[in-house]
Amino acid sequence: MMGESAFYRAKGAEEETPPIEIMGVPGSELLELFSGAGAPSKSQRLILGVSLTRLKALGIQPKEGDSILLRETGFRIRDVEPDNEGGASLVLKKG
Amino acid sequence: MSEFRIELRQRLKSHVLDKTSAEDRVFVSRKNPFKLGQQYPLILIYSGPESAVESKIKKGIYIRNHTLTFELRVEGITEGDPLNSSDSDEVDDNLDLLASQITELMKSFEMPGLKDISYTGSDPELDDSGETTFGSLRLNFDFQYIY
Repeated sequence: MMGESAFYRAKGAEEETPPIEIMGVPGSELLELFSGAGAPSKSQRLILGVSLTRLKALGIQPKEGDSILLRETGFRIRDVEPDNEGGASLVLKKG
Repeated sequence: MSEFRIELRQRLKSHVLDKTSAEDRVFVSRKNPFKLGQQYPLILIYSGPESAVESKIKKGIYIRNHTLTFELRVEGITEGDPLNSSDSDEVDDNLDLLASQITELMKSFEMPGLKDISYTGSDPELDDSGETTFGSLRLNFDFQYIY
């Protein structure tokens, strides 16, 4: 899989444990929040497309709460959306 | 009375500008969406419904209750090592801080023609669907005036 380098750490892993380098394809979708009465705010839904097969070979089974460092920004996995073709979109949340 | 409401919103904006954690991010427009990268917290001021009762003393004069909302918005920011960050966004705390600042400021708000201000409640909302957590808190006040 082409893509960008990112660093993965499972939730609860020891702080001293070095994160594992993975490859993924980042993507985003624009969101409009609070579009009721006041002017809406904008945010974005960030995803990282990954190969589950490759992650498995690295000993990673992605799950909610795991951490990813991408483009020098820290994220947590909010959701894992498998595509049923051996890949998945990891939905990311900052922090 | 529409002139009164326009002036009310403008005076409220001036009254809270640079006096809360939202600093100068106080808006009376409800049309234009905020862009990606907008700084938070911020305050939106907009009008809601108005009820009116005709004065028993003078015909054609109404005692009006105008509902106005301060919508407070904050963005959750987690600090520290991103790979070891805690899950504690401070959205609720920041909203409550801003709400207490607004409530306090309303105690000193005055305007010609304004008879009374009463706080009527709040309505919180959290949105966790994006890359960061956003919180909104709508503070509702009734402004009584005669026109």
